[in-house]
Amino acid sequence: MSQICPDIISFPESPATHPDRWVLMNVHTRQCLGVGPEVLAVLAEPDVVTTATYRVWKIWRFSHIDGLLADPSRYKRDAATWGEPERVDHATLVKLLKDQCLLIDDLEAYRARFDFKKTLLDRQRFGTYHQQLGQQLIAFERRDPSAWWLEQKFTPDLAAIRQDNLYGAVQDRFLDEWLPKRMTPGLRVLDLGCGAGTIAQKMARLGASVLGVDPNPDYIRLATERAEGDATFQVLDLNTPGALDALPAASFDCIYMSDALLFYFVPYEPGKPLDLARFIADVKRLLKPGGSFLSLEPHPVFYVQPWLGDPARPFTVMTEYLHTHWRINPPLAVLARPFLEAGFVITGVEEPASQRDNPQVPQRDAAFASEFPVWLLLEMKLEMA
Amino acid sequence: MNVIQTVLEFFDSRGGLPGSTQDEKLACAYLDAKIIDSMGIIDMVSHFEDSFGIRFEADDLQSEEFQTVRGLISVIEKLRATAA
Repeated sequence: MSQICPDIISFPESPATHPDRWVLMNVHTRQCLGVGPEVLAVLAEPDVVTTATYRVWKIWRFSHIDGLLADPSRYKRDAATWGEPERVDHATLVKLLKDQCLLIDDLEAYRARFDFKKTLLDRQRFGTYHQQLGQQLIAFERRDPSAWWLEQKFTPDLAAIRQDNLYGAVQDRFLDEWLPKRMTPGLRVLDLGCGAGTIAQKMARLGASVLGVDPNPDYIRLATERAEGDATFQVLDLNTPGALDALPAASFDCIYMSDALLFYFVPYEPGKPLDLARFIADVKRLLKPGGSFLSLEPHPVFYVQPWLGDPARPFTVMTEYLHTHWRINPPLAVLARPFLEAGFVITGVEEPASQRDNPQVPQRDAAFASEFPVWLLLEMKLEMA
Repeated sequence: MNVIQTVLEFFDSRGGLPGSTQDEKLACAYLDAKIIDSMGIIDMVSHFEDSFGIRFEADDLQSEEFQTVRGLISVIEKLRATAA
C-alpha cells in the first residue's frame, strides 16, 4: 500500500505568474517534483487508480553544484523555466512520486535509508551532504570533487576570494570591514589552513605579522610568491599528529581559521574523526597570554536549509539542527563547549549576512542571506587565571 | 576485445582483486572493498569508455549491478551490444 511521505511540503513556486505550478518537496531528502494542483488529490489517495492524466515537471537539479553557499533547494526556482509539462497517467505518476520519496511504501524502510552511503555511487542510502555532492560530481558531472571545492572558493589564479557567490561576497566584505578592527601593526597572527594566502595577505596589508600554514605545497608556493608585507608561509598538515609542535609556545596574539573547524566535529570521512582535544591544546599552547582564537564557519543553522518564498519575504523550513544527517556543522553549543571547558571565554560573535541589494550575486541568494546569515564568527580568549 | 580479460587486467593494474579463482575475483564488490576509491571511479569509468567505445549513464554507475566486478562486466556488455 502506498502512503504519503510524512516529510513533504507543497507550495506554489511563482503564484503571481504560474498559479497552477506547484512544488512537492521532501524536505529531508530534498527530492521534488513540479506538479499541477490535480496531483494533490493523488497524494491523499494514491491507491485509488484513475483514468485521468496529470501534469508533471521534472524540476529537480542539484543546485549545490552552482557553488558553495549556493541555493541548496535543489529545484529549478523559476516556474517560467519549467517548460511544457509532461502529461502522465496514474501509474506513471505514482512511480515518479515514489522515485522522489513523495509517496512511500513502507515508512520503516524509508527511514532506514537515512544512513551513510557505502560508496559514492550508492543510491539507496541518502548519505551526508559531502557524499551527495561527491556522488553528483562523479556520477553526473565526471569531475574530481577536490578540484571542484577549490574552484568554489577562489578565482582561478587563487589570488582572490571569488566575489560572484555568497561564499566569497559575504565573507570578503565582512573581513574587509572587520579585520581592520582587530589587525594592528606588529600583531603576530597564525592563519591555520591558509590556502593560497588570500586572507593572510589581507591581514599582512593591515600591518599584522602573519604565518600561514596549509597542507598543500602548491598553495604555499603561490602564497610565498605573492607575499607582501610581513607574511610568511609554510607547509604544515594539521591532520598529522604533532604537526603544530614545531611552532614555539606563546608566540601568537591571534590564531585565525576559516571554514575548517567544522571538520573536527563532522569528519570529512565518516569514521575518521580528527582530534579536537589535541587541536584545542595546541591553540592554548601557541597563544600568547590574552591572545584570541578566531573561527569563521558557514553558519550551522542556515547553511543548507531550503531557501523558500518570494525574495521580498523569504522563509526557510528548518529540517534539522541537533541531530543532522547532512552532517555539516555542529550545533552552536556543541561547537563552543569544548573551548569553554578548556578555559576559553567567548569575547565576540558575528553573523555576517548579505546586503539585500548585493549586485554581485543572484537576487534570491542576496535576499535570503540578508535575513538568514550564512557565516558565523566566534572570537575566543583564554580566561585569565 | 575480451571484456572479462580487459576488466580483470584493469583491476590487476590497480593492485588486483582478492580471490584465487576467476569466480571469486568476479564476485568482488570492488567499491566496498576499497580497491577503487572515489577518485579512482572517474579514472576507471573513462578507461572502460575509451577501451570499449561506450558511454556509461549516471544510472549505470549508480546501479546495484555496477558494484561488483561481474555486474560491471555485464553492464559493459549490455552497453557494447547497444552501441554496436
